[in-house]
Amino acid sequence: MAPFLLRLGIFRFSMAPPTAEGFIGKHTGLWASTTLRCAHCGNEVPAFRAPATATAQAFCCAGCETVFAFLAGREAAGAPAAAGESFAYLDDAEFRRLYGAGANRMEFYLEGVHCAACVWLVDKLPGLVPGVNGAALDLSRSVAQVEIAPGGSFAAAAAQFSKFGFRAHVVKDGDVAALMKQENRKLLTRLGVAAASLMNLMLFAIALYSGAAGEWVPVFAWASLVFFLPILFYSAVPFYAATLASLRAGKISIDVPIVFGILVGAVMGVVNLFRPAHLEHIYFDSLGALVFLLLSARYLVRRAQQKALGATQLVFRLMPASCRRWNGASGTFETAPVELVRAGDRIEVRPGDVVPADGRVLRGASELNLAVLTGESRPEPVRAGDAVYAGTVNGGGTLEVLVESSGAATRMGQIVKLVQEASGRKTPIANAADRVAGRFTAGVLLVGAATFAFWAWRAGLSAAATNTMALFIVTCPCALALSAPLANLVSMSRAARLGVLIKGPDVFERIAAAKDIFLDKTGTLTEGRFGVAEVKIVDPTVDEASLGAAVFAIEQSSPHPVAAALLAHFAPAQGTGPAGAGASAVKEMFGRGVSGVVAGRRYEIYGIDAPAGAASVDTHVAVDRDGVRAAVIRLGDRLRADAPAAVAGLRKHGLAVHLISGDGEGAVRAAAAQAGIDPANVRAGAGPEDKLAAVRAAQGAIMVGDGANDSAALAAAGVGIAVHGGMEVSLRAADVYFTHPGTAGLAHLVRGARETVNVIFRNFKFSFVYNLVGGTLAITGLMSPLVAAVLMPFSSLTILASSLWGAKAYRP
Amino acid sequence: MNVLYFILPLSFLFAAGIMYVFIRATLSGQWDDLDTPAYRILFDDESVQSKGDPDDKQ
Repeated sequence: MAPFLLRLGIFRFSMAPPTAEGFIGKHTGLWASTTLRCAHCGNEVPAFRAPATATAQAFCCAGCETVFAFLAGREAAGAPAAAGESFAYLDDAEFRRLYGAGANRMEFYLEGVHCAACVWLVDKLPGLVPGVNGAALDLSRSVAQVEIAPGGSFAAAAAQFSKFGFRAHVVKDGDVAALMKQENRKLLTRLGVAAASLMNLMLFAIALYSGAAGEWVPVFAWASLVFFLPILFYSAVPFYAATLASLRAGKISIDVPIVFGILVGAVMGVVNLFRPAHLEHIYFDSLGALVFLLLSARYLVRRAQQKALGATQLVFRLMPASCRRWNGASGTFETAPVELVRAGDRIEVRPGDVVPADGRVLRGASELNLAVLTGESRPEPVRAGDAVYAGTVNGGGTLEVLVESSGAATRMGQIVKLVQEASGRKTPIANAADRVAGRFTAGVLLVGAATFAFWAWRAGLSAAATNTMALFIVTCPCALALSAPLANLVSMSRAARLGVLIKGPDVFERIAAAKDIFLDKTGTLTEGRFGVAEVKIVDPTVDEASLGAAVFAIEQSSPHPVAAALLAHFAPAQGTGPAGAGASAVKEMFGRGVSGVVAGRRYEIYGIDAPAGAASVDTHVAVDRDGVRAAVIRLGDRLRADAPAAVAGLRKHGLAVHLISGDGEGAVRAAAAQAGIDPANVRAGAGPEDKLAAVRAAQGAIMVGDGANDSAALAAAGVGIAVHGGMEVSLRAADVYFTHPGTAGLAHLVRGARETVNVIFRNFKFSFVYNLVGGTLAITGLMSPLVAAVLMPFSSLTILASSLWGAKAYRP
Repeated sequence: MNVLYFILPLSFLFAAGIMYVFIRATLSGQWDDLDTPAYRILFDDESVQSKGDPDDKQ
């Protein structure tokens, strides 16, 4: 039954396809611009894959691009991930032992798989790479399982994935995934058994309701019992376990009144089987329907949750998988899995690599991007003798590093430990359903006692027992128990289509209750990299295109980080051909800048002091042409275009917006002013511990961040939201993960959360009304089994309809 | 109505059979991935891949 429910549009939580279809298509106002169709499959093209020029062909994913090129008989143009990436460590025996899924099997998370073309490509792997026996892609998890023949190479398979245009990451916690799969299957089996039993049970129940008489009544009643037993003793087991756990903890969860209702109903039904006069009061069908509906809801919530979890539980990004370790025997640096690096090892860190361990530079000089630890995006110079830290990113030079600590002992390891502690100490919230459950149970017991006393006085013990039991069964809070999960489920799956993955069912309630929101600066409010923020043309006779081409030509060979930023900014757009003439007479102006001649004109590029009034944290570069100032280029971390709108949106929802960053005062104040954040709510120079303390101080606050330095705060906050491009450790710590960069979706999420909570309370009201009606009938002795059988599923269906109607923000 | 003496046990058998098939399908991983097969059906050439769930063969 459940698989069929899953196939219904509403219960599809596909993560990969929605990024382009539902999300961009239906909510164009949020992130995307115009509707662009994929040249290969006709799906809509997400904004971040839109081509640079209007005439170029657009593709929805790397898979389509590769297949399209393949059909056209040429190599795919863009497979940037393939360049320079070495997968040799995948074939290391130790690495395979640690992370392989069995002897010849390994799972890869593929970034960017999206549609049928991707499935087709991955399935084609065995034919393309010798030694690969099988490859199958699970599109919903974006995970491909690769099986090789003995002697085959995973490195070759991963390299082929790169050629397709998918970045491949080894799935390192395969055990957890396998365990979740086993549990899913178990729950689905319970659900299936409940469904099959219920269908058969209904046949007999309907026969009884529609007037079966005489010798067949006991036969049908006993037959109902036969089909009720698997539900009672097998399908409903999770509820018993949850009830025991909650009673042991001294609390009344929503499971307690459910189990009470089921047990009372079961006992009363069996007793009545032996009382010919009461044979129709067996209620097995109502109770079976209740268990089935509750199990369905739980199973669906679980699948939705796991989708979000699966996307963020993968170990990648934070630490490199491999590094270059000195091998004394061979006298060279050799690729080794980073887990095997120990203190005392010598390692080589090449340009662009992530430093794999804490240590000290032995030889070489470069700049390191410390953003992971500090949030500061401007590269820091390092020389021999300086300390380097795991997780930081190397700039242009090659470093030789003596490892001092590795793994959990590194500063990054300490942060991870802090995150684990913070997650463990998170204040639990009593979710709405459990809060209601306590009062509900007390109320029903009280009314039950009064009913029993009244009927015992008026009509004797037998009638008193019958009516009281009927009350307990009819008020069994099926609808109440469904209220919150269904509303959360619908919003979770619809949010997933918008690229917002929510890991827990109580996240909406937490968001709706929050009063403060803390934003990180680097990478969250800003783009998080050192780049060209502004090009100001001073000389009106200069056009930006020719200036850019000249700068690009001259800076080609410079190793300076400013040069790298300029090159990235002025790189000719793909497909527009070479950038005209090369530069001649390129000369390093010692300590100042660089000069050269392009197309007969002499350019000088050099650093200048910030003009008066500009934020002092930015770097300014002047470009002179033939001795005349042509342009001033400002380099720095650029505020995201959507940031001011996002802050205004959050304010409109009544949230106090705070900015908290590890960056210097100047940069943080400037970003806050641009984004429109109240200067009183701005905090600069905050380390991971400061962020943690600030978030703890503001009870139940929302924290938004991307870096490892945010992760402890993300874990401790009422709700942690990690934005796209974030470090793995922050994704793990957060409750919500945005698959799209930027903060544009925050206000929408807050609105969606509040509306979801409203839906939950609307559901509560419906179930209250039904319980009032049913309860009244039971108390007055008017409840017949037929009325109960209609009333109970009908109340659940009302809740289902109300939940599907859902939050307005997520309505398709 | 005497036909019920025959039909009832038959329906029990039938239900048991359905449950058996469903449980077997579930435990063999039939419902683990509900998205990809919908795409795979579009490919008309023979695809080379491992059948069933590899976890169960270990």
